[in-house]
Amino acid sequence: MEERNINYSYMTNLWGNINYKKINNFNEWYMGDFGNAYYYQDWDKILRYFAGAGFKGIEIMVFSVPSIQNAFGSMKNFKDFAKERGIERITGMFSHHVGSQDKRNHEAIYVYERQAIDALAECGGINLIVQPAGQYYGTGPLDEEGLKNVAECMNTVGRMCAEKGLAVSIHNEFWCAVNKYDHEKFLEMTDPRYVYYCLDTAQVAIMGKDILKFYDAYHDRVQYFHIKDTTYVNAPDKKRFGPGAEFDEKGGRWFWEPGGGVLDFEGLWELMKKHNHKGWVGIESDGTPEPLATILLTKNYIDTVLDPIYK
Amino acid sequence: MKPVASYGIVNADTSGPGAFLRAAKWYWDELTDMFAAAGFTSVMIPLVPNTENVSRNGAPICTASIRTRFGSPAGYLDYLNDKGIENVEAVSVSAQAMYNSLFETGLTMDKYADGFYQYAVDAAQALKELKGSTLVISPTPGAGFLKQEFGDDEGKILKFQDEMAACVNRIGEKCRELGINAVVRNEFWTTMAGDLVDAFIEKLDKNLISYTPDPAHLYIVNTDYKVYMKKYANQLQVAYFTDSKFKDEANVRATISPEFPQDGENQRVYWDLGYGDIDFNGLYKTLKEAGFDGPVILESKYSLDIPKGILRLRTFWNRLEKEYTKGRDK
Repeated sequence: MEERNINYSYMTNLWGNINYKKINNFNEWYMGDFGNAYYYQDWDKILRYFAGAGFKGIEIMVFSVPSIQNAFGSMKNFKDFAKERGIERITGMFSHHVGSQDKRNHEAIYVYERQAIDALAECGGINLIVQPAGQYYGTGPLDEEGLKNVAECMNTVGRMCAEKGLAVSIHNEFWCAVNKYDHEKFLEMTDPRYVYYCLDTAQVAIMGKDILKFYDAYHDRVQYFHIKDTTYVNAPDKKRFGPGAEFDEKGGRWFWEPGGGVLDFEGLWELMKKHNHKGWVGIESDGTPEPLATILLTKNYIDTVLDPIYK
Repeated sequence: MKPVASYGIVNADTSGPGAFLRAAKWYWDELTDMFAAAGFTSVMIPLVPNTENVSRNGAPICTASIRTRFGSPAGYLDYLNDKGIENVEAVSVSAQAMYNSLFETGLTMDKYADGFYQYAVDAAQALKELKGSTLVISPTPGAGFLKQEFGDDEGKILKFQDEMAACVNRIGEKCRELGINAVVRNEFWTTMAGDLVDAFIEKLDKNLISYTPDPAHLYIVNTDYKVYMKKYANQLQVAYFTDSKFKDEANVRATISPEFPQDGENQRVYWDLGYGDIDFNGLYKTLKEAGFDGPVILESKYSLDIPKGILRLRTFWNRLEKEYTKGRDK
């Protein structure tokens, strides 16, 4: 691999849930239907799309673990399969701590996260990326005790990760019970020895935070990124706190490939350079209707806009 | 007979352009319009357990999502009525779907039957509000998954099956209280597959539970679906039409990936109705001869092109009725 300060990893959730290891017979999926299903159902081709576009890492969703295990037999087999297709590292896994504001749920969350951590460690991962609580609707706002419990849960999972040589990082969705009014406070309530922060640029901007100011202030905690763009900065509480706010009822699109929205990525890359950031940077494009186009547009943006600033 | 279009045409857990968006409410709003535009006035919903990941989205495939988005099942029915859909004739619950959710819910196998009962009763109560008639139950997870849990200990597997059969009977009692039908359906990879169907049915209380043969799932494991339809036609509460060309020659039924065979040239299990090998003209005739006049669930499971698949459902049903009339008038 080229010597770089930062390498790029692509979160695979833009494809949905992938059930097949490899589809073997084009005609079975084409004749009679005459569509494109053959190209989008298996890890074999999807991994090669990422690698073909120049990405060397991927991230996976915790919800994908059972189907990956069903298809490959083990996470290690999956890692080896990906490597044969040009994916050098499965860098991260997204997970969530629904109900963490209530201590009575912590044991169940630890059992759940133990499975996630084991799976991530087995495929040689680095970073467990965690939505710290459930959605705001039905849960928020959190009182002091609730927030403290969420932080405690995150700290414990951070220690569990550290035992396996992994890191845990907070991924703060704009629709999460931990939200705009306690975002930094929550981060400061977690243990910096075990808990890092994954800056999802669009989520945090939609929440109403200035991503440049936030990164500049907390760059020592921000060890990971989910890079995505948005046209909808500072959405009103009503939009963020509604049921299932992640999916707009009318189909409005929250997230775009970098360059497709209004966020200042050039400014962010200048700050990464200033703070000498090193490591994997995740790209996330959930919600795109056309994954291949989004992947290629993203790579072109990296090559032409971001790399010239810092790489 | 009344055709009922199944939401099972959508694989909500698949990949491809737009697959992620199948979790959005707008996607299902459009789908509802398409079913109505294709002339369907009644639908069937395969319900999955209420997990956080599904519940928070807009797909009306679990009761929590329906309650979040529409207030209640009755609220969802009002919405459907406004779109031209008169009722949700049936909902299904699947022991496999519940098994798939264990990773997220953390439920252990010793509490499995109780968990399944709660899931089914919640579904039955929703069905009542949706003005439906029938709860369809897929009563066991896959044989491969049970082997993963219990190893080669046949005794444990049989004990589990007995617990699930007892659970299904309890569900039947609850359905009777609610005034709805409870039926079991076979799937090819479960411990109620092919020639194991009769043995499982023997464990059930026939006063509470009836059986609906799933033709594609019988065909896949080389069981004569026509014989089963004839044998059970007189006790049918609902007929279930599915299609396939897949023959399980590699014994994928015993693996942990039965619906998505990982090896070989034949990996596609489900086909749109009329595009597989099932003789539906023969099945329709059997139902008519048995005097069956109830709902027929039309499920083109996991169609590769949903709008086209919905139109194909209507074409399929129109042709079926036409062919039968033609044959009868000869």
